[in-house]
Amino acid sequence: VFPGKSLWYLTRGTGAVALILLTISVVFGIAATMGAGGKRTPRFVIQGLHRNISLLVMVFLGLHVLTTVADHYVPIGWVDAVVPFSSPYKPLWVGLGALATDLLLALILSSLLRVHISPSLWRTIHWSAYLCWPITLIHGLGIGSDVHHQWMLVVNVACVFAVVVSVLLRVLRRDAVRLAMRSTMRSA
Amino acid sequence: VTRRHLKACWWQTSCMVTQPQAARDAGRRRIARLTGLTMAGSLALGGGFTVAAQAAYSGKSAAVPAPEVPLDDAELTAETDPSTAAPSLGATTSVEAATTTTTAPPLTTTLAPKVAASAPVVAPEPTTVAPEPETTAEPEQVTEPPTTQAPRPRVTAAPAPRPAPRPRPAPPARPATGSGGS
Repeated sequence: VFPGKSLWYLTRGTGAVALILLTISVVFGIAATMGAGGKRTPRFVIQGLHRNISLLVMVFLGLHVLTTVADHYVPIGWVDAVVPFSSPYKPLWVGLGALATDLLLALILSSLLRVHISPSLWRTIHWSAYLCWPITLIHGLGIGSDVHHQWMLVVNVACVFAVVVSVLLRVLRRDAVRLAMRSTMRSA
Repeated sequence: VTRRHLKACWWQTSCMVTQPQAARDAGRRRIARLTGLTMAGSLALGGGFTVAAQAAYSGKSAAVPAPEVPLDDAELTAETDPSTAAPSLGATTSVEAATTTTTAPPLTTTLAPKVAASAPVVAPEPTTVAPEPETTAEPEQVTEPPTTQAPRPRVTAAPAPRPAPRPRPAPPARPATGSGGS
């Protein structure tokens, strides 16, 4: 079905797209936390996009793992994709990818089960998103075959720029966020 | 809006609950449209990145399977990349390269030192292999290494020297003794 090295190329393509989608999801999450939004794009639209894009990240992450394991070119199994630092092939970089996968799974599952867990627990787990994104980036920088190619450099720089700017804006507007949180809690 | 509903919608859609119905519907449609656009863009990007990765893949990436590949092979493939960049991309259609006699001679010349450098035991074999007309398949083995990973060509390159010894045990010596006896 996949002749030659198609799986190997798909692994790299899906990995890059997963990084971009994760970046967009993080940016939307930060924007929603900051209370961003207007009349045309209310805040719940940003939150809905954040949720849907996060699920899309999982789809591309699943494709990334599936193509990596199915390629059989490097000895990476299903267990190595989930258990960090257990892979015989480049254990550090593959392990970081597995760690990011676990964190993302925890984020998605906790959000899907948000009704059944306490908000504080959900928020605590959600804070790991700030750990998941850089781990994903480092995983790509460490093991990615296209790191030195121009298109991948553009992708990495754009992702770093977007997240850094978003985090800086959030830190600078912390007071505004607190006010938005209070108003949200009062309205709820 | 019940208390249970508010609890269920905490944080993610609490502000949605406070919106009027028309705004909610418009927002939902907007979410669906933008999600669809994102999905289509992601698929397009994924395809584009896959094609870009395939096009930009060169001998540098042979460092990925480094544990399995001897350094000599990796270096030689990296050296042969610039010269044989065009045929390397069409590795699957390397039969065409074999038919074109203009490209075949330089490729065989590059293979000979490669085999001799990597495995000294195989070194005497190219001398017997060279004159054989069946060795037209060798360009396939040469064109594959520069494309991508080294181990895959190695698997195909291994059986190539094997057919060479087969003509060696040429039976004409026996008829010489047989004819003398009879």
